[in-house]
Amino acid sequence: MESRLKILAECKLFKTLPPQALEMAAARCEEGEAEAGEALVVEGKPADGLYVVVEGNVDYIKRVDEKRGLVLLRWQPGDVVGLDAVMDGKEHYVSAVAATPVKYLRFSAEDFWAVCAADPLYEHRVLRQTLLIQSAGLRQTTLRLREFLAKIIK
Amino acid sequence: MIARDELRRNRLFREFSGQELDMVRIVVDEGMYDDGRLVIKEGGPGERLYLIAAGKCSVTTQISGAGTEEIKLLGEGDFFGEMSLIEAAPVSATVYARGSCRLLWLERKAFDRLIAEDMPVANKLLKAIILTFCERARETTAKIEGYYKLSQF
Repeated sequence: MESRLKILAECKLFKTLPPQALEMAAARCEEGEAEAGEALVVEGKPADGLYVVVEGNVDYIKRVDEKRGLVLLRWQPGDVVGLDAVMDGKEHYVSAVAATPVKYLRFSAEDFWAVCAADPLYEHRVLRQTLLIQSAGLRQTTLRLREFLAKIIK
Repeated sequence: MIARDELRRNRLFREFSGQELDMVRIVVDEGMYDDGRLVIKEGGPGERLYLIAAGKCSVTTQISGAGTEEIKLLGEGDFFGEMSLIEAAPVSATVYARGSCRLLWLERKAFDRLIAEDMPVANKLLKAIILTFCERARETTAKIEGYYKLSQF
């Protein structure tokens, strides 16, 4: 429990939460591990939860055909994976695959929203952090978009 | 003052009650933009959140070695300029009026106040932006897939 609290207090999504909210979140998540190459979330599948990366790296991969995928972003410890699909309740638009052996904390969508619903302040702080995370991710994916657009035009 | 219905047509305020819309109405400004007029410039400071009340706006970016390319066309009910307000970072794309358009806007201070003063109102606004970001991320990722396939020919 102690180590979960420390991890959550440092992760981008939860770091602005007050101690009592962190304790609630720590009680509602589960620890897990993934081998390199193992998918945490799968493109096209419904959102079932989100993952806080504790150790290792996770790649966001967009499938481009039956055999190949493009690595769009690489996530590090402290980052959160699977957030967009939990937010909008739709299927995952990319897969999140462990690039190295990974340790994580997993929240089911239900447990995540339960923490938010406990107090409007908790929800507010999580939503603000979500926006920062999304905004940074969008800037990076837009850069990738420009790279491919430049290739086509040239 | 802007009518409630006009604000509610924007995707940011669809879930707002009449009273909540009134909090926004008093801080929104408006203006007409002629075809081709620059609204915000990539790399510049972002000081406003813009709402499209009527008409269209073209979102463009500089592509290395190729010049300016349109990456999205926004219409009535859409908004832009929010990323710079959220991140306090430079504007990520250039936006022009496409045809004559009517824009509403919130200055940075008004936006900051709106998301700091009243928690339920702030949370509705934040959720609306988050859902739009999710949509943009899905669109951008789908475009990358398309461009990648084209780049293989």
